[in-house]
Amino acid sequence: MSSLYEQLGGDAAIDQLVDIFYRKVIRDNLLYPFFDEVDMARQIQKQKAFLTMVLGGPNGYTGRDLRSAHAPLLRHGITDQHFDAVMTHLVDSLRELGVDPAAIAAVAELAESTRRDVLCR
Amino acid sequence: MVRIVFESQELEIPAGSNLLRELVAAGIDIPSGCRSGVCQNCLVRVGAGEIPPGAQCGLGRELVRTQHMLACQCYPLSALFLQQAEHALTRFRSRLLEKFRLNDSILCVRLSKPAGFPGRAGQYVTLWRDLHQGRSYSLTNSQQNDWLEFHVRVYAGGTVSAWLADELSPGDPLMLQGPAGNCGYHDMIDKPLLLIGAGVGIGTMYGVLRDALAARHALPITIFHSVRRREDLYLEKPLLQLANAQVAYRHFIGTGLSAPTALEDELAQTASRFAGCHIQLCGSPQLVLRLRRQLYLAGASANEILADPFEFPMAASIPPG
Repeated sequence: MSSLYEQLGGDAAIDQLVDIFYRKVIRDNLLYPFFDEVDMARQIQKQKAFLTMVLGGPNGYTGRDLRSAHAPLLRHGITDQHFDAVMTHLVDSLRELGVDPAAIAAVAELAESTRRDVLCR
Repeated sequence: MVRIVFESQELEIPAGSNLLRELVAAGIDIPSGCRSGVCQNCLVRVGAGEIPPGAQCGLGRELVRTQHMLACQCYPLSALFLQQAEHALTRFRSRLLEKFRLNDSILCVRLSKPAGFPGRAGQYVTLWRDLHQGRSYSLTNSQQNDWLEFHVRVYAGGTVSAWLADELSPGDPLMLQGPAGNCGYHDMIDKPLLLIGAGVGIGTMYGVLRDALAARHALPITIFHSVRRREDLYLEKPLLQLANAQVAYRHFIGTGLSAPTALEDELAQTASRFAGCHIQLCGSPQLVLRLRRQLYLAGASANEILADPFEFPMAASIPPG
């Protein structure tokens, strides 16, 4: 069984996915405050590296673990509502790219498994 | 405190402090330029230890693979064992050929081109005043001339810019390091281009435009110049001369630092037209980063936007000397 990364179409597809996904995220008024101060290119690069890793692609993620990366956001009031919004954008982005529902469900499950770490519970 | 070992020297630094600043304060001789993660002069190799997030941002794959990082972007939280970078950019000897003013704040500097120097317009090169004081500037020409040309905004008291303007004379030697950076015309013949220069960034974009035309780029090219005041405009004449059915040139005379500039107002209406373009942005960091976001949100692909924010070291972040 090939990795989700390969099923989605590899490097070029992840580029496209991150493009669409991150655009949705920073357009979202609910989420915008969390991203306003962050250098966009750096953030996109990290999103790509992270998605590549969780989808089973070549592992080049050099960021912190999710928990410490998101810890500063606790002070800014990150909640389940924000996590849900990001999940919705991710799933919508995958749909826009025409990914088949089974693969979308698998990606969503992986992303859902990070909820506790992102919200630092 | 965090333990740092550089080659054979050992020091303890406060957790989360800036690595470059601590190394320099400890008397370790590391070249540095912009201190903003752009010029890559302060590259070091990590022999052991965890590379903090952000310290490899902007580095090419090969450098990441070989455990290099930028000391100026590194805020260590745990012990690091460091070595001299293996891939340090090559240094070249050069001389000032001539210099002249382009307007009241911008100096054109022409340097002799070292044999085998591979740069192209859009890449940056660090000009060294001495072993420790260097600044990066974007090349404004490629292989068409036998000199290297830079457009330098001269700051009163600027470590390198004021030295270039007031002290360095034709014939005087200096060291160059580079070239580096991804900006410039290469492999982009299949897309329309949008080139934006903010302030002195137009010099670089003019060079990229000339390279595109020399490479017979056949798709539309739009070149925008954003300035704060009319007096800051330059290269207007040659750009107007190049304008034709294929090449569109416009300048925008903007407002202050925080208010949207005239160019941002224009793009608020028209940015989506450039969604399929390859885009290069060059100039003052705040505007370049805002424009990148604006163009990305309007549909341009993040991978197709090359931004070169002209960082210069903030006085507050560097120890004197």
